[in-house]
Amino acid sequence: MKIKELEKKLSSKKISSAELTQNYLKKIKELNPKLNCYISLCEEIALAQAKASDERRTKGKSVGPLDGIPIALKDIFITEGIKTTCGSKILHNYIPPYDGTTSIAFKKAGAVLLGKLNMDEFAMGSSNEFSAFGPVRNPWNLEYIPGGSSGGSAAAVAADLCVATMGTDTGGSIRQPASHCGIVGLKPTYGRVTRYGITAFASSLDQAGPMTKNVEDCALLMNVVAGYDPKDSTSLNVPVPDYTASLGKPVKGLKLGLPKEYFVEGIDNEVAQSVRDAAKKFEELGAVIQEISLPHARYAVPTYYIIAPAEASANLARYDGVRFGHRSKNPKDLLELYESSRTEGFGPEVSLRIIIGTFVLSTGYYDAYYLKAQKVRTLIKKDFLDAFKKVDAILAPTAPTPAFKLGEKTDDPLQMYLSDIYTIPVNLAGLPGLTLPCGFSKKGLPIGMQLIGKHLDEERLFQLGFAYEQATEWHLKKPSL
Amino acid sequence: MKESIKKVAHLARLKPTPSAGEKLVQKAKSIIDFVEQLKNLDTSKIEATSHAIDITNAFREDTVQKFEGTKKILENAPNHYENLFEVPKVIDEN
Repeated sequence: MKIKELEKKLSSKKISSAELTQNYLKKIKELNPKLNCYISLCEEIALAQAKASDERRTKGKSVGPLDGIPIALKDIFITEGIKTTCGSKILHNYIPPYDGTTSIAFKKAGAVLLGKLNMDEFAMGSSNEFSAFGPVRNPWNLEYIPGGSSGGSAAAVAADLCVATMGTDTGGSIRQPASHCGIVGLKPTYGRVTRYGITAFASSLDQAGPMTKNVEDCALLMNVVAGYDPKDSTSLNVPVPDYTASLGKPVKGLKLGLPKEYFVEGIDNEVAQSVRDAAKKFEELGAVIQEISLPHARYAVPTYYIIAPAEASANLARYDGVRFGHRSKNPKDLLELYESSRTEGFGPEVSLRIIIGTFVLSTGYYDAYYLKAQKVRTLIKKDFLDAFKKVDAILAPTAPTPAFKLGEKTDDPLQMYLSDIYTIPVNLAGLPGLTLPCGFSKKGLPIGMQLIGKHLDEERLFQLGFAYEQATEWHLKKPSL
Repeated sequence: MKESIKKVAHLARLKPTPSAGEKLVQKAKSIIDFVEQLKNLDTSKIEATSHAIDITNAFREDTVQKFEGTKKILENAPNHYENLFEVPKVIDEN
């Protein structure tokens, strides 16, 4: 059910937030053993928040459309007094002493926090198999991965184990799992949503955004989380529009670009066909489709696998077993305390990325790898800026294939990395990208398409996404569990 | 390459077991080989991008803000003595 429909039920007293929350908690307990979406539930807090919301409504003091709505957060969002693991053994016992800005924003909006969602360790992964708390399964077929790193978030929304959630996206971690689970996900413009209180992975790329059942819910969540935060030095101090205002506006005459480089080798036929069919649908709605070129697209993945590990290796230096998190038992000296705590606490993928990052930043290699990658990043960004001189937005696949099977790519990092081939360029350029369902494979797995916009042009993406959603029924299909 | 990777593992304060280390070296090598393809591009006249959005340093007034969460921070500490984090002895008495 849409947030606005739930809000109507709550305000007309057809259901209370307490009842709604209890229904969700019951459903989570029933289905979570199958899916493993939740790392922790905060039942008591949720029921107290729901009760408080019901009291506000009785007094006619509702604080907005999210008041009393049960949500959940990826376990990368810092929540005061609620265990926040980031999917890692090294933070298995970490209880944050403060709330991140996004956690505060949801509290102010009156939302009910059901719990914290599973993810690849430190958001490094594309299948949610690199979580210290076990893999998440795809609600459409339990033998398949849900995507990653926000795999718990995507699966929870698809299986209706929360109304909506927030993920984070460094190279596709909102959009790729959203597409694999048949839901809507937005990676906003870099700087649009605060990073204060999300555990850092690669700071120049990390961006938080909503993951929801439909475009309207996504816009409603953006109204809650977007905006300037003095606690994040890269937060953009520009006015925030009402993101629901562009919903329902016609798309006639808008120009959409199809990047020719995205439809070559490596793309699954069913995915390519679904995105081309979506382009036809946009034409029927009056939009103009034209081919564009992003000539440096093929260099995005190698560029990312220099920049992201480099930043990660610096960000993850703080986990040393001294002030918080896992500490190895009986170290003989300080060096052994650092080495053993980190080696025991980090999983193999995180260790691999720390090593790559340290390597590309080390003496003698910095210019050849890190500086080189930053220069190629300039070329990748320029490709997009050139394209946006000709079109209003770009239409692309979100992932090259539908979800793959558990275990299929865990031993081959390069194969795993290539599942983010269409999402990574968007992070490197700092652009907003909206994914929404546009079809199903013959095996019954969801396919997503991606709308990429100009910097700070999320409204246009919502306008286009909403128009497409109204004209199709993909978003109404639900997995049977 | 193998020795370089082992050296950076030490710099990053990681000490994998021999078998885990072999796997890490093998995977790291395949990724480093993969990113080598950037060398095909001439970037001699290109500026580096460290941030996708043009931003300048964000300065603020240097004012004291009261912090009262010391207890909560210490509750997360693996070992602490009063208001101090405890670690193995760093200075050798001899």
